[in-house]
Amino acid sequence: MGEKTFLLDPNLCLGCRACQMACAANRGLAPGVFLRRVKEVELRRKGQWVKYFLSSACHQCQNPECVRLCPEKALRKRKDGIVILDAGKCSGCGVCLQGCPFEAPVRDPETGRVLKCDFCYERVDEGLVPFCVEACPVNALRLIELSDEREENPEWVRRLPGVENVQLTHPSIRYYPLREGRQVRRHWEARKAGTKRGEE
Amino acid sequence: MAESFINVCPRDCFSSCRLKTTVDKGKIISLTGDPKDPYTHGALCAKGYTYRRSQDDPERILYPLKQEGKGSGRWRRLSWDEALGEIAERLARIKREEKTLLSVALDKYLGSTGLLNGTVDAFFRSLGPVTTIIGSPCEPAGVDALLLSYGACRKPDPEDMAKARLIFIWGANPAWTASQQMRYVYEARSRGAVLVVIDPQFSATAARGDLYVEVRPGGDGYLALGMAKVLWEEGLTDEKFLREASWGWEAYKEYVESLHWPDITEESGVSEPDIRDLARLFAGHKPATLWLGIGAQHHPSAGQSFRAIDALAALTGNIGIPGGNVHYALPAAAAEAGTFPALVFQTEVERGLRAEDGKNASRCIPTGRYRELAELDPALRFLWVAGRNPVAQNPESARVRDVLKQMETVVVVEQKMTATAALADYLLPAADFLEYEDVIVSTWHYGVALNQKALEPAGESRPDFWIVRELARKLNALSPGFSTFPIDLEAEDWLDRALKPYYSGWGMKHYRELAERPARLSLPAVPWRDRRFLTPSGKYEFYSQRAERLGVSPLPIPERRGKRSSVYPLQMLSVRSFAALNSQFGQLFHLLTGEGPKLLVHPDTARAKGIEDGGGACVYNDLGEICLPALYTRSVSPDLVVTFLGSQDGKEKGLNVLLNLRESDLGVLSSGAKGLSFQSCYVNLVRCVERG
Repeated sequence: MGEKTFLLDPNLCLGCRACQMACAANRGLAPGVFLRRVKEVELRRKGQWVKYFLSSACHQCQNPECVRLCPEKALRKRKDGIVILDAGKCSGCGVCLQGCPFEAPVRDPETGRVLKCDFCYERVDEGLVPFCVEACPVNALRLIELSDEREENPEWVRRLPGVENVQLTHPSIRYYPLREGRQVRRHWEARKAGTKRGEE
Repeated sequence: MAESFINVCPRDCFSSCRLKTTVDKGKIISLTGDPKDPYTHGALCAKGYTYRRSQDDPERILYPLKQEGKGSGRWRRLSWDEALGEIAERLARIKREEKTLLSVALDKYLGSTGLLNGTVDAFFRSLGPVTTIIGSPCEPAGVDALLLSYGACRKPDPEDMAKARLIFIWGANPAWTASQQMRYVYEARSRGAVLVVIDPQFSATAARGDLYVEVRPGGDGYLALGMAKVLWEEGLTDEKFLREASWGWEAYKEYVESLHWPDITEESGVSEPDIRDLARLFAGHKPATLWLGIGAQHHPSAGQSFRAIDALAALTGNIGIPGGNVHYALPAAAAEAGTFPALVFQTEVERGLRAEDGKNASRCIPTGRYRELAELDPALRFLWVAGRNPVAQNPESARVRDVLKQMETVVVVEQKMTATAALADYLLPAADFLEYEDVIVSTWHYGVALNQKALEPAGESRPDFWIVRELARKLNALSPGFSTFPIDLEAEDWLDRALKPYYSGWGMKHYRELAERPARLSLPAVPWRDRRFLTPSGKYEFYSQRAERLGVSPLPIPERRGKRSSVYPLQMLSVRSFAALNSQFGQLFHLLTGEGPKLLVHPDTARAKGIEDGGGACVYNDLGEICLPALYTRSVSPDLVVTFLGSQDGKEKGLNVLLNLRESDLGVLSSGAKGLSFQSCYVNLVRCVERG
């Protein structure tokens, strides 16, 4: 059995936030607490300003910093790759919140303990998919199993443009590479003139 | 023991999603999309998933309330008996003093699209002539355009879009407003179809297009005229369709040939070579389909622009073929399936509304013209608002507020303390859709779905149907025959009567069978296959004498834009985000993003005003001002600012304090009133000191 991970296709993702809200509502999280967030990324590429939506939750890193740091040993990585938190052991010290480069774990304001995405492993164990995957209207987000890396779909990439490249913890997330369409814009010149160095 | 129910989201939206709600001991324990929903396949939007938490909503109004001094915020709880008793007394007094109920007005819209809400209209008609606010702030100019061109409102099944080889999404942002439809768009694309998005802002949908064309807001009609010019110039038209199935194409051809490219480019914001490419692309892929957005017709020349866009489908013979045609949200098309259910309610108790001599007729005020409510003779003394939030949604918010403040009695039926509810004398708590049985008909896929009662109403909230029936009872106790509303009919009886004509077509004996078997109104998946149109000429009309009678040119000639004000050089577009539907779901945007609504502004525009990214921007014009944090983005051009609808509701200053009343050219034919031009909002910016 390979490790499970999310596969996001930014060419399909609509930025509709159904995944984010389906997770929060069905996991019974307190209002304003999210285990998945959607970010709008705007960047300049091949002479055009393009944008896409990055829906992300815990990347279930192969080398999870949270597991390494937790003084209570409340976090562990299962054989199938899912990093799960034993809420009973969590003291709410917050070390993992600081340590995670992706700010994936969050604090539950009601209990003071930590919450994190665990792929809805109880659903997965029953053969269902996580709430976020179920909610995607266009199948942009999927749960996949990473078999031997050599057999991995060579099209997939580990990072998308315009976001910080953090690979230290070996996040297991995979993406389809971003493609962009052609644009016919009204204020082409004005836009170029307004672009400062460093924004390119 | 947990029990599952089928529900339907009743918001005024394309998708009308079926939900599966599981309830244990009166509490929702699970709420998802219904996998049996043939249109959504069980995927909801972010708004839909919030219903899972609806029982914990601290904002729900739970009891009838009376405000001591309008706008004072001093609310006193009443029993239903007291509240409806006092309201009945007030109505009786008006009738006594005025000898007419024309001083009583109803303003009701689609806060909930359930069929039962038609009983509110029925109740007001049961009183005899009253004043009603008619028309639609939504889609009427575009509907009229279709009516003039085709003679009737018909559209394909939304699933038919998957068969297109080219999809033009014109002025719509389904990625955020009809996400389920994107499944069919992508399905077409996976078979090689090309996706073109035409929009004044680089929307979430535009960002996923194969080609994005930025049109000047309101310049859509000229873009279509330019494309038509190219189609003829380069011999790309479907001559057979034109000769056999269309009317007036010669005059149209002559007109577009007379147009000059500099004018087309000036109006549309798109260059001649780009328009040429677009026209060739459109003609080069058949079937090609056009999806027209509601927002694209919220401008002064919307109807004529939509006629020009509709004409592209005709010019290329894309009408009446699978994968072709024009997609547009059409409540009116349901009438083609038989008696539109809502109408049954109206005719049931209709009394004098259409009196021939006009003496006994109701008084109709076009939507958006709230200021006229204060100027009527006989004067208005009583206003009932249901399923609507005019302070937030109408133009001239400040005037709407004034009208409500001056009105002797304002009754608002609502779930939350909206900007309008805050100005009520009586605030009556409406039940939520999960709390009563109803049936919902989609205006996009024409699914007919049963919404079961899954929960008891929160607090003392009640469905609109219950409220008007109890009021009718009170009125008749005061004065027998005051209302002819059939008090003995239960909600179930109304629904049964409305839906009975469809039972045999669905192979059902009762509408409750809809719970297990989703049904649709029986409309052809592809309209106009016979190419016999319902216009006076029997053909697709490029040239329409009916248009002329409505006060516009018989050819689809949009007005040119006027001279731009140098004082208010920026155009503000208010668009729908993923987190709100008009003023509904107002807090969700903040919840999902952790931030409040922003003003989307091009960095050049903001920097010129000293406004920093994230800093406060004060948006102002001669009507008012609002302050929003700026968000630098290249998704909007330097002469535009964009903000999201709805998230400002409840506060003193909503977006529409900046919006003048400006009507579209068409809308009367389909809705009785012209559409509203929400795009006509011109502003300037200044750095907001308080914020930033």
